Amino acid sequence: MTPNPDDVGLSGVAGVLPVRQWDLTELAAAGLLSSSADALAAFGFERAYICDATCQPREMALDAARAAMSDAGLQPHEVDLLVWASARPESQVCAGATQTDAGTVMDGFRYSSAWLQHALDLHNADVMAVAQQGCATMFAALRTARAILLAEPGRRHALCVGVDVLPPGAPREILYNVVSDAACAVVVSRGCTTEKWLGYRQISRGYYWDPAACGPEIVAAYFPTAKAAIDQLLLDHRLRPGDIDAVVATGVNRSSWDILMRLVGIPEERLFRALPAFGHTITSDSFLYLEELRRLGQIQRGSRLLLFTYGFGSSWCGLLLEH
Amino acid sequence: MGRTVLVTGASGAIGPSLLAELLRSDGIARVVVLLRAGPRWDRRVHDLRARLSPTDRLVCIAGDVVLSDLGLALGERDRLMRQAGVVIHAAANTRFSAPADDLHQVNVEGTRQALAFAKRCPRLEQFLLVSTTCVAGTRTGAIVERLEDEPAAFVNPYERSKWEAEKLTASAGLPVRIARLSTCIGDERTGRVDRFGAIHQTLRWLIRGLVPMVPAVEGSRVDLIATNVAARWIARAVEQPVNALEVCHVAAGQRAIPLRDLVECTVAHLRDTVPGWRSGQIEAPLVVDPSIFRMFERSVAQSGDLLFARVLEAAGSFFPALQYPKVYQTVQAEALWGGPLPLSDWRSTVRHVIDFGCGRQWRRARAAELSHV
Repeated sequence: MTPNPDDVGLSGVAGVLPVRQWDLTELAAAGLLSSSADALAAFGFERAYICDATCQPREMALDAARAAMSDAGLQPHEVDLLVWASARPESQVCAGATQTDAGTVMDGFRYSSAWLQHALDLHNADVMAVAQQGCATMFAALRTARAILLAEPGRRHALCVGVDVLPPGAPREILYNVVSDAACAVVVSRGCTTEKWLGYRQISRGYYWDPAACGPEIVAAYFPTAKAAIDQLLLDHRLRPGDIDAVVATGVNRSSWDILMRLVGIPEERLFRALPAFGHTITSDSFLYLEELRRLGQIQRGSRLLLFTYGFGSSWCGLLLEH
Repeated sequence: MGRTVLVTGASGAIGPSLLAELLRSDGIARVVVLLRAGPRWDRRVHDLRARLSPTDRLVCIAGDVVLSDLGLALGERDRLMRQAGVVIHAAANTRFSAPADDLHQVNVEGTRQALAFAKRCPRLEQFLLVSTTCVAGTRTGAIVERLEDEPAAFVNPYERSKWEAEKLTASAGLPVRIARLSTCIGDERTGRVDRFGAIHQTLRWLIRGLVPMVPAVEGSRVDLIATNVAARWIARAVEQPVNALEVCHVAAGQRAIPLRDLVECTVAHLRDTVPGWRSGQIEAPLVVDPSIFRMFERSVAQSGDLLFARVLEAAGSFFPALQYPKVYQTVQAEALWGGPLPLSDWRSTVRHVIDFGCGRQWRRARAAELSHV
């Protein structure tokens, strides 16, 4: 079948976790958790992956980008657009090398996106970045990439790369989720029927803009707003919950997924979470799972996949793909 | 010559509204109010009088329902026993989450003391126990206006304590009327609530956007009645003779509100009036199957989150009953009233109550006021 040039799909997907694992006992002993290890274990957490001297964020980003390009069968010169996607402001720039005041100012312009373009030799790519979407930042990057590919027919492939790493010694628990470092990369391609883009729905609520001040309100808003986003996405495409063949999970606490599946009415066995628990990686969860889903090959072609995530800001995002 | 009416529980949820109605009645010579003795007694009397008019027939005396002879001084006790024609026993600990022993002490033993006092009143025409429709516990379907055997289970120890109080009252050998009130939501005109209860605390958290879901089953209804309507009914009951035992549901009955309608009405009003809701940023709570709500409860319990534990404690006093849909029969209550109960427009009342509560920041009553009066 000849692909429709207006079809946009995900031709390459890859995720990378650091090598070093900390189990919950180690994290608790280091004072990096606010809840008890038992409570977090009950939520399905087992460990966190944390960068150290042997595994730097930039290396993870490079590894993820190369793996996604390889998955898509792309050479560097074929990438038309590079979208850097990180939730944390620190990840938008490469760590500074200068110590002077002038250097400090200039260090703010050491953009990660530009560095990555250079490191990967993506000399045909335009470069941009997406931020301020929390854990939904990669979703926003994919959405932006798709829109640009459709708006500018001369471009065919967009590489979206995200990496988020917490500072050394930072707490590893956010709103009852154990947080890991990770990177991911996704190639969005026009004329591609792999993980074909069917639809997207986002609900953004600036009312919850300050997570430190309204954590409980965010927790309470999570379920009703998540259901609203998914319901609207299904409605947009005249789908019923039973029409979704697989829901690609995130690494947030397991009970929240159990509840959400019940709320939206998708059978719980359709939740795809077939990886050892890696915690919540901010931007990479969905794509670590999606990569595994593609690798396993257990899902039939033509199946409908739902990806859902919540990002501080706050945004609730649902992405519908055809496998 | 009119009656002397002794009222316990006058500073409770329905007390001030009830006193206002009684003081309007021509057939009542004196309303004697038993207020719990304590360091704030003068202040409480002052506050109560300030809300009522006229007060020339109002007499406040210090006592305590859990004490022998209601804690009255001998002279006062004897005088009151000689005069009392009606005893309205409304004093109760209405905290659903209170320890069972505390509830028993006030609601059962307090009723025992009030009955013992009433038995020694030679002119007693009626002992009116202010009870609750909650005594039906986990029964479902039509709930009749009569004393029933113990239900299979109660939702909380408060319900059991009131059921035991009813049993005690019914077997006292006095002319007894039991007024089972459904949830008194507030005054229909002003929304005033004299004591915030479980439903108000739930509203308070809901307005903050901290109630993500409400458990319900098919047919879940909320039986609400305006506080002033309940007070008017009781005031009328005081004037109606009772022979042996009469049980009445002062409730909306068939006109109880479907839960979804109540949630929709509440959310619609919040969207008109409360920042956050007004801009559509806060999503309405989901009405969910109880099994989903239990998953959420378990998740909160596992997290150990203190704020959500408080939210669920408040909601836990209101939500469980929604899982046992029932309709309270109101035949006897209506016969006494002389027609259908004059229920308020519930939507308007709910809106007034929300406005009142928000205006007061849903301020909690002082701990001393929460126990009993």
